[in-house]
Amino acid sequence: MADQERVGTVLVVGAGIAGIKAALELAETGYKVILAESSPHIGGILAKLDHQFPTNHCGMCRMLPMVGREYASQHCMRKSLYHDNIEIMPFTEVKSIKGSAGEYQVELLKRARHVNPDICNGFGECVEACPVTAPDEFNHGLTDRKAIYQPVPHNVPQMLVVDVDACDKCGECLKVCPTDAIDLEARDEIELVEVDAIIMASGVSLYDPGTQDDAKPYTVSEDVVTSLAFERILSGSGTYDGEIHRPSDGRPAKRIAWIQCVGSRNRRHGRDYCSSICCMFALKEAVLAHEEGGPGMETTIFYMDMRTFGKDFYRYREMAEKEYGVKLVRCRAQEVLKDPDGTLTIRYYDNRAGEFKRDEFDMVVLSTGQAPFEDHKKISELLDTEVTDSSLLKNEDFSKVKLVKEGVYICGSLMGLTDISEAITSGIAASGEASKLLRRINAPRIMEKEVEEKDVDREQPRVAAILCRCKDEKIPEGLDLEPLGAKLKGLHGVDEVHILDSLCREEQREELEEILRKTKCNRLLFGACLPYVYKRKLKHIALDAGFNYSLVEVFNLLDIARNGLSDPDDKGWIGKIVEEIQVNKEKLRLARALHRNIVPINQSALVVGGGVAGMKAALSLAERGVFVHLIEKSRRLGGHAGTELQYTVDNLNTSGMVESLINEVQDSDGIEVHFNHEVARSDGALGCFVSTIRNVGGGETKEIEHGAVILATGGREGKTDEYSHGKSDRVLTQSEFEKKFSSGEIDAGGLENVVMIQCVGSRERGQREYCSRVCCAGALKNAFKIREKNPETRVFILNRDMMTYGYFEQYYTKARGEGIIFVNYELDSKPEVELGADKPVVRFTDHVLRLPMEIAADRVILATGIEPSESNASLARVFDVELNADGFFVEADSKWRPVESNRLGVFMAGLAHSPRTVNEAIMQAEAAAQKAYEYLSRGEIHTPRVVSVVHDSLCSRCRRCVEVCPYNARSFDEVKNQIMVDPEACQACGMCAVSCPNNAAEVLGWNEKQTMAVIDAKLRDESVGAVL
Amino acid sequence: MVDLQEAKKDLWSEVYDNPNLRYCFNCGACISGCPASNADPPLLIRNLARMVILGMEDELLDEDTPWTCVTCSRCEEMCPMDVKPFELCLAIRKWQCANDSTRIPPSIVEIYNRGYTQPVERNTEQRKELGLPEKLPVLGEYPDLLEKFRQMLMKTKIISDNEFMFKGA
Repeated sequence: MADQERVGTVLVVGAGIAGIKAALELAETGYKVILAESSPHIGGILAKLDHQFPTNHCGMCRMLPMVGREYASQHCMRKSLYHDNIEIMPFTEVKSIKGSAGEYQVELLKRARHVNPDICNGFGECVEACPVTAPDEFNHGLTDRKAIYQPVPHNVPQMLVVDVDACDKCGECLKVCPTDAIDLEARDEIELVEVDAIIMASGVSLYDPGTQDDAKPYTVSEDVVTSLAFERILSGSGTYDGEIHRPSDGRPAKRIAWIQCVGSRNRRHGRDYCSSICCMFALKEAVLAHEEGGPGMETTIFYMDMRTFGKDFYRYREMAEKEYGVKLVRCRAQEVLKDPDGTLTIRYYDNRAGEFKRDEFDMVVLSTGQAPFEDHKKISELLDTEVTDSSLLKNEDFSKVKLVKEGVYICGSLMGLTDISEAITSGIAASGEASKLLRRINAPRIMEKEVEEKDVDREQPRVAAILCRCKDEKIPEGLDLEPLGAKLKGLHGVDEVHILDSLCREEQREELEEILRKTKCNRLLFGACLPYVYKRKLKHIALDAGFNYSLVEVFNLLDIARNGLSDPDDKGWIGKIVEEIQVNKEKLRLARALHRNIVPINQSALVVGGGVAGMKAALSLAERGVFVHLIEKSRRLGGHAGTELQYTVDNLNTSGMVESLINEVQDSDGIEVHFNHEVARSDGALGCFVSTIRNVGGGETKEIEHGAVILATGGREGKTDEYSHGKSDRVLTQSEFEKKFSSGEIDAGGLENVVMIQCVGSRERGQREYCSRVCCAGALKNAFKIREKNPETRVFILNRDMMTYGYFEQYYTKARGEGIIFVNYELDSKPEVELGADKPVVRFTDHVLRLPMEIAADRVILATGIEPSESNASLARVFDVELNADGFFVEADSKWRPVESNRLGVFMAGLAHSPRTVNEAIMQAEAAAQKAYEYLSRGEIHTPRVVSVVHDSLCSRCRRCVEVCPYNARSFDEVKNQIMVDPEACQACGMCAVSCPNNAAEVLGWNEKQTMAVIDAKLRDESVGAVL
Repeated sequence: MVDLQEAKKDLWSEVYDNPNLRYCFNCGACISGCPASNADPPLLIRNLARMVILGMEDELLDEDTPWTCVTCSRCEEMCPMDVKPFELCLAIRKWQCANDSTRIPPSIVEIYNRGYTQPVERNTEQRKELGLPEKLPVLGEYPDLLEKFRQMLMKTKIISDNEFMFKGA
């Protein structure tokens, strides 16, 4: 039996981005998370990547919580992750799982690191001393490391580990270690944990060209690298400080080729899948090569289908081609040839020119994706559940994250290699499912305790310096702080000095608390180490003692002391610390106590759109006790999927699923459906929106108060008049056909030849300039249905790139095996449809033979893609959120915050976001619901203390601050004639303060007086003053 | 203009007894390193596969390029769909011969006559110098075996159908 007192606990297996996101979501919802990771570090693949498109920056930190950021971890995620509710267990594997939902008992195998991270000072003397070298996995073997090493160079704190396979136990490290942190005899340990739910996020193994026969014709030189290795070459923390050099001789690489699908789309070797991410990965790397490599860079990508199926992906491809000159060649290379001088040659057939060509390169990058699912069998045995024919874990129908076993969810690349946005969405969705379960079983949540703050607003500032001498810890003999203490006692403005042995130890906590209880000071200055790690902890202790958050500062005493010790010519480490204290003391002295407001949250939500995504989000929230107003502009629920889709390519019954969703919504007490209504106006902010809805016919309006909004406006099939659509009943769109075919109106017996044309009115300037993602699988689905009823029917699918990403590839393969003919066409040579007296004749050029061909078709079926809902434009105005050029809602961050809009409290799901399959829309709906729930479940919001404010008397209403605010936290209220700031949305970045011409915008805690005093304190120091 | 209405839908099963053929997605891995693709006109086995799949019977029958394959089988190593393009090439040759007797290569007559293709009996001097036996143990040295061999060949459909080519041999 689960312990009644134990708070709801979830085990997340795998600390890649999907696992981290799932962990953060649950932690923010108030549950405890055990985050186990089999490798010695967290971050998964993303720890290796410096750049992500479309911005080509790192944005990992953007997945951190936006609300309550003072208390949550606010941090560079590439360094590490800290959250009070998350226990991270690196180097830990799951050994066994017993029990059931609500009471799983899990045996964890904690592998020995051989270095105790609690006492290791991270100086790395052991690394210097270690005589053994081994290839560094982090840089994909491009560099070497020692047997004792830091797995991720940019992690904080340094988490060293011993590679026992490489280590020869010579003991050199033990001799130099000043803190006795190394234990070469340490053994693995078993820990038993009890959890309510399990989220599997352990990712997928990657294809390794070094060990596979089918890559041998490519791996002829050191200058042939995998795409992840190339990422390390591009990285500032990588092999060549971010410059692009050939690994063989270090010469700059100016001509680089990418070979796509290495290891993937290979039925012969049992890898009949697409790895989904490699096309965009290669495009991004090529663009970065141009940006980092400077002029003269030439890039070529050898591909089969350029799968730019995600939101804005196709635009990125066009930009890569047109703006950067990335050359795309549709040909799978047979081999890479190495010349004696190291030049690499690829021979290929140029289809457009109809001739062979040879291009020379300095480097070749192999776009390697996932390896076949071998771990899944193991995982399924652990979980005692099934695997599918494709070796995937068996999910519930229409759910990508819910396994058939209750209380176990999956996310990230365990579902098949996913890009960042899908990984994050799935992580949130999985945590949402877990939080539903936790609520169902009434698992207690961690409650934040309220501490009364001492009112010090009218007191004189009095600063206490509390310093850590780091005894027995990171410095062998401890820092001798007594002379420093003596010096500080005489320092003006420092009223008390306390020196403790080690602040980070639990044993010292009592002593510290005692000091805080007795002190007469109202401002605290801590001098410790690693503010990244300890700042939050020390501030929390101070808070618990009644101190104001903004009157506590922490500085890195150890680092200054360490630098000062190694630089004896200067004023010495004591001088440096005194200087740092002077500066911090000035800041504290002028600091005001900042208070937080408590804003109650209206615990209901407004969901706009009654399609699959809208209904699913509404049900998901209602299940967790959030009342939902579901606004539907038509007279019925079901949306696009409800009317246009009958089945999926996996042969799931879509119409049946939609019907049961409609019934569930109508039976739910927690959902009020407002048919025939639209949103006319909305004011307020997260937790306190007031929206006006009105009858579509005009007239009657209603006001609704709600805490969050989910936009699920859906979409519809694109319209077209191309290819004689509308002029003949033999030319139809895919969904027109699907309806008529499944109702029996079109008889399969009469279909001898069917031609399907893809990308109609899509991926074309002036039309729908994007890929609609679902049409290729949709065409396959209908082709199979036709051939099921009439195996004699010849089906031709004319396409530009078959976008059968991931496991859809198997359907593409199956279709070819059945004899369905696929023809590629280019935009400048589109097929033609001529209506004759009888059947329409389709003419096209076969891309392989380069010959014109024609066929009289019984039906021509057009894939016209997906258009956004036409109500998006007005809703964007009502909710003050952005639309992209194609009319879909813009996410706060396309990678890291994929279901949030740029307005706090407004979320999106389904086709409102971008075209996607039913399963994907459902996953997004779960994610959006979870994001909304995460906020609504708090009951109240504590606004941050450090926010930006407006001094209205100074404000000239120029509204520059509104324009520059990246978080939509500022707005102009026409009625009040005032700039308004939403304190929850404000992230205190300071853009407003910088852009304000009148000093009317201020970020609290960073006022001008304070900043000037800090600079003065610094300048008062003679050595600095002399330089200036 | 190729009228696909006229195309022979099941040509693939007639030419090549390997269902993997239809999995071909024209990636080009078979041709991009093919030595015979340097010939003029080039051997483009990918295009031949396409003709078979599309059912372009007449065009396929007219193709001379299958005969330039040097049988290195590199295409087979790299084909991700296990089409075995090299086997396909041989299958096309066979099919061409079955449908057009003028496709039967003259070397078959040589094989029928001699029991082997290459005129290996010529270098007796050189063989002697190198201390090798002057005569090779080829089939021609054993008239009774050669006769058996000819009878075997005659049992194959292509040769018996075109018996006239071997008359007087």
